[in-house]
Amino acid sequence: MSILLLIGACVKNKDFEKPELICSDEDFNFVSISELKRLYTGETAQIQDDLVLKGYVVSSDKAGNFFNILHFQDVASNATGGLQIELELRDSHLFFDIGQPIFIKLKGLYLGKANDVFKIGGVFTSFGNRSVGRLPNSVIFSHILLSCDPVENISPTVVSILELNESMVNTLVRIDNTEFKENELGQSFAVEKEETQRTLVDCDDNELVLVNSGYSDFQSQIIPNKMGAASGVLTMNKNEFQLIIRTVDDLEFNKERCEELIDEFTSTSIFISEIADPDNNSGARFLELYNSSHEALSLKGWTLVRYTNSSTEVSSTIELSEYSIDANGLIVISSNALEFENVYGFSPTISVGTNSPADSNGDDNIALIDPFGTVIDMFGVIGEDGSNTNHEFEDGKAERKIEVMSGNSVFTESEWIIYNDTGNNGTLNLPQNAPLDFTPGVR
Amino acid sequence: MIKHLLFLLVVFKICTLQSQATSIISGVVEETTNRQKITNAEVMIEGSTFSIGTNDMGEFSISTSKKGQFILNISAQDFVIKRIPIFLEGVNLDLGTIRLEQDITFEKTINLVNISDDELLDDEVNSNALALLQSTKDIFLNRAAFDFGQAFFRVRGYDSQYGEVSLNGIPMNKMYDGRPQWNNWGGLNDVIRNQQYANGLSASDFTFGGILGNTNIDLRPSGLRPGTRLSSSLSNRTYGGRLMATYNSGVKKEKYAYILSASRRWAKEGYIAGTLYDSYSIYGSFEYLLNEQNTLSATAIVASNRRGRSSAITEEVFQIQGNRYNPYWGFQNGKIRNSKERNIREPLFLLNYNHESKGLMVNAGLAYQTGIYERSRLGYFNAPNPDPTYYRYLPSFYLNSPIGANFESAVLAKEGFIQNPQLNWSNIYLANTSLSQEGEAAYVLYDDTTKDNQFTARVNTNIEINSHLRIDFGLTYKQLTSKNYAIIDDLIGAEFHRDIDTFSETLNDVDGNVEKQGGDIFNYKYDFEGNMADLYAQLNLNYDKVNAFISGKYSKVSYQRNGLFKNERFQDSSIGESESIEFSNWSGKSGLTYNITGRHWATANVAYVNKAPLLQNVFINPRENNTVVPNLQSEKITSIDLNYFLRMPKLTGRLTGFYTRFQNGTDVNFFFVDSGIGSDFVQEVLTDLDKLNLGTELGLEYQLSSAVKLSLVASVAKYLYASDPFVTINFDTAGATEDLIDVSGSKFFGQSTIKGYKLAQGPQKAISAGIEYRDPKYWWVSMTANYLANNYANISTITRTQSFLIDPETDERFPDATDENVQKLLRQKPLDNFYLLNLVGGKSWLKKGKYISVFLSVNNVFDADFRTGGYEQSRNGNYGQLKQDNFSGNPSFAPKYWYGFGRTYFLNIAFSF
Repeated sequence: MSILLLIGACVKNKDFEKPELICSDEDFNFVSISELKRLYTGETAQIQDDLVLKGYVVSSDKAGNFFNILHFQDVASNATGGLQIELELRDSHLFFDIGQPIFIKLKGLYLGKANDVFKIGGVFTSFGNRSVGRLPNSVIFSHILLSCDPVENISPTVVSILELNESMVNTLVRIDNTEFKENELGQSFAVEKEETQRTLVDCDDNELVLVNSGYSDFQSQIIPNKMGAASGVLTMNKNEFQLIIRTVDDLEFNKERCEELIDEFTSTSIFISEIADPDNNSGARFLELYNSSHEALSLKGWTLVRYTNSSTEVSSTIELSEYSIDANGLIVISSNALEFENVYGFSPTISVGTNSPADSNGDDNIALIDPFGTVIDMFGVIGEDGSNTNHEFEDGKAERKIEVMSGNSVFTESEWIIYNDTGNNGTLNLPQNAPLDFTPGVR
Repeated sequence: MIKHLLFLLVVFKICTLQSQATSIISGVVEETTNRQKITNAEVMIEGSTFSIGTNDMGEFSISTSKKGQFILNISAQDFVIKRIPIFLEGVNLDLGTIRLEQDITFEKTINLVNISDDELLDDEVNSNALALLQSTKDIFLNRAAFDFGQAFFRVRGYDSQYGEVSLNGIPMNKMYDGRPQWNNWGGLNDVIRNQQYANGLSASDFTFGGILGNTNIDLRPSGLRPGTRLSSSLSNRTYGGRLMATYNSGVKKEKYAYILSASRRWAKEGYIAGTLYDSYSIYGSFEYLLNEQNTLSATAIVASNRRGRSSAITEEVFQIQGNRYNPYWGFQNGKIRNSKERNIREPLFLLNYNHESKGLMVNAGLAYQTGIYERSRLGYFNAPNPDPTYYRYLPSFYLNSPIGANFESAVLAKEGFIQNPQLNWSNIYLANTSLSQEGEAAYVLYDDTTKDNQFTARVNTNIEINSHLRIDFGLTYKQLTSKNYAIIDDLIGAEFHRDIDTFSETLNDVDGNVEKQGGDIFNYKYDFEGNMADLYAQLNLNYDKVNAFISGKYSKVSYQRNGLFKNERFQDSSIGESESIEFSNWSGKSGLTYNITGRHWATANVAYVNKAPLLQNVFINPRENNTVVPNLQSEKITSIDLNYFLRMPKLTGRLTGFYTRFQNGTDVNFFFVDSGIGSDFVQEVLTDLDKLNLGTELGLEYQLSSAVKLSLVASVAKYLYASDPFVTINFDTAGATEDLIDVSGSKFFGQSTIKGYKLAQGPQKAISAGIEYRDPKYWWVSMTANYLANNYANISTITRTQSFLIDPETDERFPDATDENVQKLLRQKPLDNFYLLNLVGGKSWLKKGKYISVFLSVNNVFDADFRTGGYEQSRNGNYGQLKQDNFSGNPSFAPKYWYGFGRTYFLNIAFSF
């Protein structure tokens, strides 16, 4: 017995040989990402078939900007599709390097869609609703196998912001010549512990949201103020594309910022042509602008401001950036689009809130300002309450005389015909009723 | 008073006690089988304190003035005790030849208690002192050691620091934790058999000692049986195999004697999965007899003990994986690799001088001990927790989701945990060689190392002034230098480790290279210095009706830390020497025995002890800085015990009541904030801690016939917290990446209302009935049925502080945290009570002076599942969280328990000649 015992007396010492890294080179029943997406029936469901997906990892949580998620695309370069898998695994970059080819055994995983993005992973239930959740840690390495093929360099798809499309979601993309939007410069990548959106713009002022985690290593870094290429994983949230970078090195911003695109311009051909405060219906108030030139003009950067009563501070503003105005055309701004349509039979060009410059009760002063801050047209006198003055249009209207062809930065009484309920200082005491006494959209 | 003191020095002469004795009892002791005289047999009149040894010719002679019915007790190592009823009436009594039978059950004594010691799963958590009781013949202590030991029973609920263990008279308790480290001489069962044990508060004549009891192991060759002994064992407990060989020359030419002994114990894994065992021990001792009165001896002990450790687990994990489960290990290239090994190798060298002359004994000794104590850990740095039982990986994590149970994921997690229950070394290599790491380690296997150098000097003297009066006194001096550091054992495929605190991004070693390689010291490095001196004196009185003693002790202790790393978080206090922390204390104890008759006597003992805090409780966070626990106090222990002894010819027994109050204690508990591997343990410092231990012990033995013996043993006690201590939590911020309580590494929590909660000191109720049969044909078998109850897990003190009631979001008390609800949530539930049936048997053959014995023990015959202890996790620091976590009935941070072994066996074959 002693001899038998002696033979067995060796105990493994503390030194261990480095293990062979486990990888798989099996020939699975592969399915493509698009084929998998076709299995989606409209609700989160468990995959029952013995399918395997091949992919190349494109995300990395090393800098903490991704959390418990892995994004991968179908091929290393010229990707035609990508997908994301949610995992209960921190620091997954230690196991899944960028460019690592992986096999995902899909049987038992869940396929679902949230905010227009396909996802696989475990399941998450709340109040009886299922959605894709994080795959429990203990099964991750049974489902995701490392391929024995070498890690490949992922070549991002180079696109412009306008060229982005849904098939690129979850793949690595690169957008050249972008920069952070001017008004965000000086801010950090993210507010601490909050997911924060920043805006990238290209030199044509096309915008793309950059999403940053408030827990990332670079969260407190100030966003770069130069321009260059931005690479990252493209995602989507409710029809809006978003980019997520792996590290700050994904932003190769080393060029001077884009020349400012001067598509704003100024012109005195735009001016206020009618301001209405109907006696019978304050909901039918409106303001009308006219373009007297022979070409359509963009209103980018233009604003209308109102100085209420005798205020010398701007009381409310209407941003006109999104609109343009045709040659010899008019736009009508209403503060109550529903009522406006009821009364006048068509909808206003712009619909804004109450107390706006288009909702004056007749004793306010209104200015039209160009993108460079210059007052192009002025109704009334700033600091002077309109009541009983030459610019009161309470219960009436202020109508630009037809011969006026350009704006005037100083209110000039002779350019206007003003109706009101007092008739002081050359105005007409003739309350006006909607719709008959008004001509919105017509000069 | 129980006393089984074996004065070896008496071997060399007859000690006749001169007095106005009226009767002299004399006789000759010999072996039954071969009629050889037995030297150094111990002869005493039951109920008295003094015993007499037989001389070279086996002769003894006791003079006494006692009158009446008594029992003469004759015992010798490896022989069955003989109890002879005598009637003393002032006339000399010659008993002629007294024959002692070989004790065929001694293999049990040799083997089993040390097994119990080995079964300690993890000495950071458990510390019982049952190995102390190896030599005792008291039926209660015997049963406690052999049978209750499996369930981590502690005699009187005391920690082993309250019992002193000496080798050749030199105390061996460590300055750091106060406990003896049995692994320092583990495996040398053949040479540590000669033990003297003084139980409880009774007087010991070699030390003042602790309140649990005191053992002196006499290692000298002349006190042990000459010859060669070989043995081999098979077991499925902590080790699988053991080989031991011992040679004792016996006294040669009346000048010298020596012993050589060696043993090897090993297992690829023990009962608990993944717990390797790799131990060898070598012992050599040489004794030189200068003359009849003076001897010198030199002894060297090298015992190396490497073990794979195991973890306490939650009920949830137990339900899925069973009682052998251990998350610490995983396969690497097909071989078991345990991430938590413990390795102790602390060689000991002793020099002893003994003098024995009429009325005077002097024992002087020097001891030097050096060596290492390593515990390996798998640290993770910006990497996922590799522990498969980490709460986020278990089914309960999904059941306890704050927005409702997620059953589907729980099922998936459970399936995964069943398929992949162990540490994944492959993934750890994968992570460490990941391209994105650029050579930096995410996981590091390292050793928390303590390297002690301890020097101890000791003198003890016993002066017998006359037959009524003896004076004992002794002096001890101990000096310890302890180096403490973490050292990289394996970078697991990585090229370097970046030695920073990942949470605060600060350097651990400001002056060193931040990139550490394999074999480098990192994280922390400091020295402890400790000095201890004590002096005790004891007066013993011995009269016919009354025996008494009184003793006093004065001790001085000083501690100092010397930081060797400059830590960026503690620039000023991390490096250099701390203040010197000093304590000086008086202690005293006294006892009285009243002999009602020779068959009934009673004793009462009291002790008042002031005990300096242990080194481990002095510094708040010694790994990082010199800060000392504020308001450090010496612990005050007040203890009393009352004993009644019965010594009828067939029925013997003892009934004891004890009451002990520990006051002003400082206690440091270690527990894991998260769980298992790599996550951090915290130190919880409790100050102004009072504890109360009270109870009764009963041991009865009835000799039904010459072959059959019945026994009944019970311990019914209460071990309680007796104050509301102040709580400070300290932790090592390095290595933990999430959920830190406080970055500074220390947080004061105020008072914890734990008064009345039970202490986690093993079963507070233990009952055992036993039957033993000894066949005249040299075989024997015994069976014990044991019932263990009222065992409690260690409570978390944080949850009993005011901070528990406060909602961290509102900074106000949780609205539903009513006293009733809180009490319900924090109620301490006892662990399940359980029964254990143990069987032991053996047979021996004696032929031409050669002796062969076979011995088999089967524990827990019915393979019962039971828990030996545990601790509440402190992670749920507030009411809302704990309530939420308990809501599903399957909490993520449930208490963790140690599970006892199922049915196990131990088979031993010994051969001696």
